[in-house]
Amino acid sequence: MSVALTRRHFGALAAALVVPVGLAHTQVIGTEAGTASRALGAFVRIDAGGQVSFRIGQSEMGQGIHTGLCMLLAEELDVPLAAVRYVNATGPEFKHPIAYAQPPLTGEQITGGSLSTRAYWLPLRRAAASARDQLLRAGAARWSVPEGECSTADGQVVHGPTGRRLAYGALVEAASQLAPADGQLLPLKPREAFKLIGQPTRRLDTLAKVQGQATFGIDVRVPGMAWATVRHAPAFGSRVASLDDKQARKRKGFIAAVPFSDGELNNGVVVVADSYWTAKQAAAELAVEWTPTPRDHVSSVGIEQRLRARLTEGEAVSARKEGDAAKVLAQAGRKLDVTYFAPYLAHATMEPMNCTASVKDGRCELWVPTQRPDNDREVAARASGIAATAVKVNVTFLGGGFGRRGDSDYVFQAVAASKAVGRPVQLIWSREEDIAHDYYRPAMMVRHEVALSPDGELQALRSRIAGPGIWRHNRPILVNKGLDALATAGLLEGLKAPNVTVEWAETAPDANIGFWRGVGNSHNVFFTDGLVDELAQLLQVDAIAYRKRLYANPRAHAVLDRVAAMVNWQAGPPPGRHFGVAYYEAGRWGTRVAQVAEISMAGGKVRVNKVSCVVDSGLIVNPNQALAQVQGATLFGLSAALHGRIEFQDGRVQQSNFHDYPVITLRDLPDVEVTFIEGADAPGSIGEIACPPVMAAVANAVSRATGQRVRSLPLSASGLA
Amino acid sequence: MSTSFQLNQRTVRTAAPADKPLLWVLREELGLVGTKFGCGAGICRACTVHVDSEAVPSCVTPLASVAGKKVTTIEGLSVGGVLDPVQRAWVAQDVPQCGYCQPGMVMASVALLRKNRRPTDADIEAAVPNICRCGTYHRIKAAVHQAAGELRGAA
Repeated sequence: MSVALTRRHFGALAAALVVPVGLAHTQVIGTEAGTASRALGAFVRIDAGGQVSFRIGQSEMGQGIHTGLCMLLAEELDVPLAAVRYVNATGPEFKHPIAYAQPPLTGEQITGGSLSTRAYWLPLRRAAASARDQLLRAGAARWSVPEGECSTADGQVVHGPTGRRLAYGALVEAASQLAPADGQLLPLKPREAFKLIGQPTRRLDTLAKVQGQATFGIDVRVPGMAWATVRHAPAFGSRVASLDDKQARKRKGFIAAVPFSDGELNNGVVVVADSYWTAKQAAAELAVEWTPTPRDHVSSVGIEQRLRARLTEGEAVSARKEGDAAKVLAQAGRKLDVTYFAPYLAHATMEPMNCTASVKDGRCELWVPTQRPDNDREVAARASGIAATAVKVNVTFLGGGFGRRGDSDYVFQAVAASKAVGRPVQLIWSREEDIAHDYYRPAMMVRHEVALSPDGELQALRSRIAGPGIWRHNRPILVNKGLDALATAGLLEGLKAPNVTVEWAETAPDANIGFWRGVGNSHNVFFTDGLVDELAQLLQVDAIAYRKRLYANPRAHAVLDRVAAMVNWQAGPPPGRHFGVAYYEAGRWGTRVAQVAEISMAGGKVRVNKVSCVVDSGLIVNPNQALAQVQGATLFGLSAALHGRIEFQDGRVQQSNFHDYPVITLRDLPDVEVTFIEGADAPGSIGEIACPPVMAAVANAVSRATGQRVRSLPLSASGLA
Repeated sequence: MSTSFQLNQRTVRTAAPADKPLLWVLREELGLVGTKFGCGAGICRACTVHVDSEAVPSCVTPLASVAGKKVTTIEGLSVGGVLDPVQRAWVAQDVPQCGYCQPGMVMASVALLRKNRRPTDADIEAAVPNICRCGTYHRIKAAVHQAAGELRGAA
C-alpha cells in the first residue's frame, strides 16, 4: 500500500494553539505528524494508520457534545471510539441549514438551544455512512468481489465468504477517489445493531481536564500577547465622557487605556498592560467620567412597579388565542387571579468572559471560548473595520456557557484593544465586571386569570406576561408580528381549556438581556406549573393526579407515574418533610420531565433534601452524560430558585461576586436521582430541560409546607432560603 | 527584588512584584495555566494550590508569602505521567463537565485526603467549598470517597 504524498485541505483548519501531546482530547488534523490523511466528505479524514480525524463545529462547554458526536460518527463509520480524534473547526460547512433543523438557528454556526445532538443525529450519521460506503466499495474493488459480500467492523472492511480483511487505512486513498453516494439514500444502522450509541461512555476530554491540561480561552498564549481587562460604564446606556489615565501611566507595565463604544449598551475602557494583574490595578487608577443615562434611575423596586403596571395597562401582543377568555372571565363565578414574578439572573460561568484577539495586516484572528463563532466574526469585523471573511475564529474549551457566550461584547472589546495597541491582546473580565455586565435572564411578571366551572373544570385561562423580549434585543428580525416567542415560550404550554389567551406586554430591558439556561422556559415553567399546583390545591385534588388530568398524553403520564413510584408518592413524605411536584411538557424539545422535590423547613428556611427526576427525552446517546446534564441542570435551576437575583439601584447592578450572588456548593447539595424513559426513537433535547421545572418543584414544596403559595423567586428574597 | 520558592519540586525564582497574587505569577510568569481564575476574591477556589501541603486560594495569596515555601499545582500532582489516586478516581467517576473548576477541586481533595483518609461527607463539604457551576458535585463526592478507600487500602 502506498502512502499518499499529497493531502487535500477542506476549508480552514483550526488549530488549537496549545496542543497537549499524548492526550486524546484534541489533535490538529493534518500531516504535521505522521502519515497523510484523506478526506471523506466534509467532516472526516482518515490516515494510512487508520486514525480518524473529525472536524467538529459544536463547542464543548461541559455538555459532552464532543464525546457524543464522536460516538455517532464512530458508530456509523464502524470504528472504535478510541480511533477518533477531533478538533474544533469553524467555517461555512458548519452553517448548513439541516444542522439546526428548527428556525431561527438555521444558517449560522452556533451551539445552543440544546440542539446539537438532535441537529447532527441524521446528518452526521449519513456523512459517516457515506464514508463507510466509500471504504466498503474500495475494499470490494480491491478484492474484485461483489459489494454485497462485504461488510465493515472495527475499522476494517471484511469479505464474508473468505474472511479477508483490510483496514480502513489501507483503503482510504482509493476510497477518496470514489464518488460518494448520497448520504440520504444510504441505510443507517438500526438501533438493534448499535454498539456505542446508548452505552454509558466516558468523556474523551476527562483525562485532560483532571490534569489541568485542557485549553480554555483564558489559557491561550499568543507570541507577543499583552493582557487586558475592562471597566464597563456602570449603568447600561452610559458612555465614556472623559478619561484621564495619568495615574495609571505611572504603573510599571501599563500599556494603554482604550475607550470603546459599540452601540448603546457596550461602552467602557479596556486597559492593556503586561499582565492581567497590572491591567486590573491600572484600571482602578483610571479617572473616568460617564455620561448620564435614563437608566441611572433604574432600581429593582422600579422594575417591579413597571412590570406590574404593564399587567393591566397598555398594549399586549397575542401569543395564543382560543375561544374568548375575556368574555368568560367577565362572567365567571369561580375565579383565580394571581401574579407571579421571576428576577434578573446572571450566568456566572466559572471561566469569566475573555477573548484573545490579534489584529494585524488587514486580518483578524480570535481565540475565544464561544458558542457563536459567526457572531464573533461579525462583531470583530465591526470593531476592526476588517471584513468578516478575513476574521479567523479559533474555538477553545468553554469554562461554562449556559447561553452567555454567544453575545460577543468581549470580542468587540478585545479586537478594539488589539487594533489600538498593535499587538495581540488577551482580554479577561474580572468576576465583578462579569456579574455586573452580563446578558441577563430578564425579570418577568405574569398575571394569571382562571375561570373554573362549579365542578372545577378549566373554563378559561388568560395569562399576560410583562417583560422584555430577548429576540427583540438580540435579533429583532425574529420578532414575528410583534411577538417575541422567547418571552412566552413554555407559558401554559400543553394546557388546554375552551378559552385560552396568552399575551405579551413588552417592556424595555434595563440591561443587556440574553439566553440563560432554559431561556423563556426558565421563568415560564415556574409560572405555569405554580399555577397548576395552586389549582390542584384549590380543587383539593392530588398534585400528580391533577397534572395527569391536565396533560392527557401517554408520555406525560409515563413520567408522572414513574416519579410517583420513585418517591412513593402515595405514602407521602417522611414526617417533617414535604413533597412538591412539577411537570414540564417541553414539546419543542421533544421531552417530558417530572420532578419531585423533597424538602424540610427549619427556622422558616427551606432545606432541599432530594430531587427525584424522570426524564423522557427519547433516545439517549450517552447515558453517562445525560445523567450528568440532568443532575447539573437541576442544581443550576435550584441555585437560582434559592438565591438567584440580580438587583439594580441607581442603574447599577448591586451584585459583584459570589459572596452576594451565592450559588450552590457541596454543603447544600441535595440528592438528585434520575430515571430516564426513552419514549421516542430519536434523541430529544437534554441540556436545559431539568433547569426550569426544579424551580417549580421546590416552590410548590415550600408552598405546601408553609401553607402560603410561593409566587416570587428567589426564595431568599422572601426569607425562605 | 526577586522571590524564590519550590514549585512542583523545582526551585524557581521570579522578579514579579511581591504583592502579585500567586495565581497570576503561576499563569503569567511561570507558564502554568492549569490553576484557574474564577473570582479573584478567594471564594470560588478554582485557584486552589498547595503551599506547604495546605490547600490555599492562590488568587489572594501574595507572592511574598510563599518565599522559601513548597508550592504544588495541578501540574505537579501527576509525577512522570502517573495520575494521583484522586485524579484516577476523577477519571473513574467521569467527574468533569466543562472542567474549569476541576483542578481546584482535585487540589482541595488531595489536601483533605493527606490529612484525613476517612472523611465524612461533612469533612468533604468543609474542605472543598469550591464552586462548580456545572453541578458535578455528586460525582466529586463519590470520587473523593473512592480515592479515600483506595488510599486506605494501599496504606
